[in-house]
Amino acid sequence: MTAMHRNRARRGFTMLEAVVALAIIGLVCVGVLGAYGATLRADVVAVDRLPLAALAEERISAVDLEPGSLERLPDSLARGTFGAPYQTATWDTEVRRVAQSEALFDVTVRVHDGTDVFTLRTRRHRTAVRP
Amino acid sequence: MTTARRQGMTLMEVVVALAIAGTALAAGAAALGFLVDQHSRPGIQDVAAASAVRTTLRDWTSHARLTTEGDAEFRGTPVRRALNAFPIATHDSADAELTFVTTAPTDVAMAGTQVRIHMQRDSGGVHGLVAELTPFRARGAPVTITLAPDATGFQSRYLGSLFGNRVWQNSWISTSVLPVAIELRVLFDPATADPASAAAHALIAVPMTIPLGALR
Repeated sequence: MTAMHRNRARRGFTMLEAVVALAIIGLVCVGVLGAYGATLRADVVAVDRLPLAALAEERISAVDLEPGSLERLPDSLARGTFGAPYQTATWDTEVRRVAQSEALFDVTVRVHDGTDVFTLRTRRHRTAVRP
Repeated sequence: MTTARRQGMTLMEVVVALAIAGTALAAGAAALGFLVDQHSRPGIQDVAAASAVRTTLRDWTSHARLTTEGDAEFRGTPVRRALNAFPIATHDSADAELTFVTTAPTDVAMAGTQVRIHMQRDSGGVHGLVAELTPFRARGAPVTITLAPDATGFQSRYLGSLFGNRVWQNSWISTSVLPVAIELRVLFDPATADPASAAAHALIAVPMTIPLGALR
């Protein structure tokens, strides 16, 4: 009995125990750091896309301010480019009547800058435009 | 065999395991460090702040209201940049000064605030674009908020509707009719601005066309 006690006391971790412990610690670290990294990455991507969002909002305003543009979108509002410093960006606008609705329209603006695309989709009512 | 099992790990095994774990951790830390650098790269917080200023301006102006009593005035006029300048305010030599009552919640009131947006100028030069908020029909001290500290100019146009024709005008003063829309432009001077803020300036300088009242 005393011999067994001495043996147990002298035993370190077995390899298996150490590997399992390390694996658990590793998984926890990967999870926590991965989530932190994903948050940072999403932040950076979002901030880079803010100018595209602002440009897209301008195109929605242009559609809002043109009477009758929902029923028949003028070519000047369908696609184009922006002025400096966003001269590399292009935009196109699409208006679609919502199915089974007389007065509702889906307005989609896509702003392209290189490989980056920002899409802004909104719904407009025809009578929203003041005569 | 049984003695080997009882031994635990040798020093060699521990060192190798630690080396592997350390290498993996170092690689992970480097990847994370890159992201942190990206996150704190110069100007990125400015870009987020610039976006917030745009949202705020859009919110205030799109909730501009007039009252039936006529005590709320929408007043947008060009103001000469210097008193000793040539006494004609052209669109290029003037900054807009815009005063209106908004129902959007602000720092000073939840339901009615008089907003005055203008360039802060004195003998020392330009001190950026500011908004002066005063509670409407209520007591309270005005609060001045700096919207764009580096701005060197502020211009505005007002879309009027006359017999169905839409015309952009350089000034709008009325207690009874709101413009159909307003266009705001914040100007920066790239020569004097901090290059780190260029992205933020480019964002805030995108013209803002804001439909008023009935459109929203």
